[in-house]
Amino acid sequence: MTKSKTWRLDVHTHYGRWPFPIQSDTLAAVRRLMQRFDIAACVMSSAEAIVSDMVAGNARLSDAIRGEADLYGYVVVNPHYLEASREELNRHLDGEKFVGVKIHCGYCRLGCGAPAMQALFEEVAARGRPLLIHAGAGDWPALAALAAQASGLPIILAHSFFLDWEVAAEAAAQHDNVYLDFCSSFTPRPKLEGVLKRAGANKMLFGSDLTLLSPAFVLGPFEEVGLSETEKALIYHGNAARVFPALARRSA
Amino acid sequence: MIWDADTCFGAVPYRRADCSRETLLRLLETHGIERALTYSLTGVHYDFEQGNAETLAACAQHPILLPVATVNPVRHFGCDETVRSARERGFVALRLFPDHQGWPLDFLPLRHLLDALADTGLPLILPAGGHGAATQALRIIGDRPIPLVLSGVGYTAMAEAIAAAKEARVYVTTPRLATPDGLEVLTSAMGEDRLLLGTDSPFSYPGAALECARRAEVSEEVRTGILSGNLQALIGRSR
Repeated sequence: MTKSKTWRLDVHTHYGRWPFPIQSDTLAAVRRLMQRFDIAACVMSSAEAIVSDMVAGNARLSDAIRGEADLYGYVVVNPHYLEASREELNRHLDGEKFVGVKIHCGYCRLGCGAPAMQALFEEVAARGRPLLIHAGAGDWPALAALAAQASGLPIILAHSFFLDWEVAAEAAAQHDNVYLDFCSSFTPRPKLEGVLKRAGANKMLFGSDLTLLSPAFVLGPFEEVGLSETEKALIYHGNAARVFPALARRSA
Repeated sequence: MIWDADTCFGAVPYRRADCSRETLLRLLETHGIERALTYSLTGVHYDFEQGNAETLAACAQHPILLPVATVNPVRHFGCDETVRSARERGFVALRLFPDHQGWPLDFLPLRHLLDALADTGLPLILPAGGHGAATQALRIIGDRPIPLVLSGVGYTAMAEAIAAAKEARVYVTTPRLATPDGLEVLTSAMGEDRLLLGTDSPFSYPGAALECARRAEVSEEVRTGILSGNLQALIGRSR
């Protein structure tokens, strides 16, 4: 793909069907969205693994992205199934396609302070691969401990804690290894400016949440807040290339 | 041309947000929005009569703004008079906030107001982001000739909006329609004239809804309808 000046690496995407009226959920649809929105590579987690069956979902994603040069995966893990999660991490992180780990606290219905989640964090930290975690601001104290104890582990706070973005901004400002993405069907002002000011552009990642959300919904606000070309380059692909070395090859 | 079906201005007590009238006007100008339906948040959180007066004053001063009336049925006093006089006072729609004010849609005070609203011909804007809201809204409106606009519809509420459109003339504003093909799906399922661009300014970045509308894979005719034509027609029908 010929890269424009504003090409993107998308660190928060999904593979699979959602229980909503969305037709753009096939791999072909993902490719069209990537083309339309100048996305050079995606890191995907399985919707099935998140909302239903971790093992089956991760396996289906693995099959889907095998041989797809610009698609990478997150291993979805679940604190309720520590042993199985350990096996999933061993199974999928050995190769080149799965480059990170995803935990969804909402669908797991478990906060980050729970003992089971703490045990899972230890497994994730031991692998050192970036963690994309869907959590809320109330989870930050437990995540702060993880960020401090595993200072080499990149932690991406999915959605920047939604409306509680000021907590996320402070988290990213205080911890070198904490990053933020901004996809959400809520786009509260002045979230982007606030994070930019407090944490800096080098902590902001482009994540669209496709196939659940449209890249347009996160792009629109980014384009309206007056980012410099340098900031855009960092947010749209530079930071992702740093956090995910495998994606750095896509930057070439 | 861009017309925005969903803006507001005023003080926000439950989170830090700059929703001043000046900020709203600046955002509208920056994004080339020529007309915007709006209401004062005073009417939502404090007193609807004071809020409606603020709305009318703001719209009188800034013709880019089109006034939307509100009432709080829990207050009782003034509700009926406000609804009955809304059209002649210049309001283009009535918008209600049961989600903020803590009352259910299946609510006798609301039922009594709907007869008055039907006489005005004004559209009714109701929040429909949660399951069951659109269904209840249609049930309480019944056979009254009230155009219904569903606000806050996101991916969890799209199926219900589609079903509602099969029952009645229902419209949807777009500030939460964030799925990759939401505008396309709803256009196809509900009709080409049912989507109304809404930005939720100044709470939200107008760019989100605008970019989705601009990038939607629909005909230019449909896009023009979403961006302004459908709202113009809806408001025009009520005048």
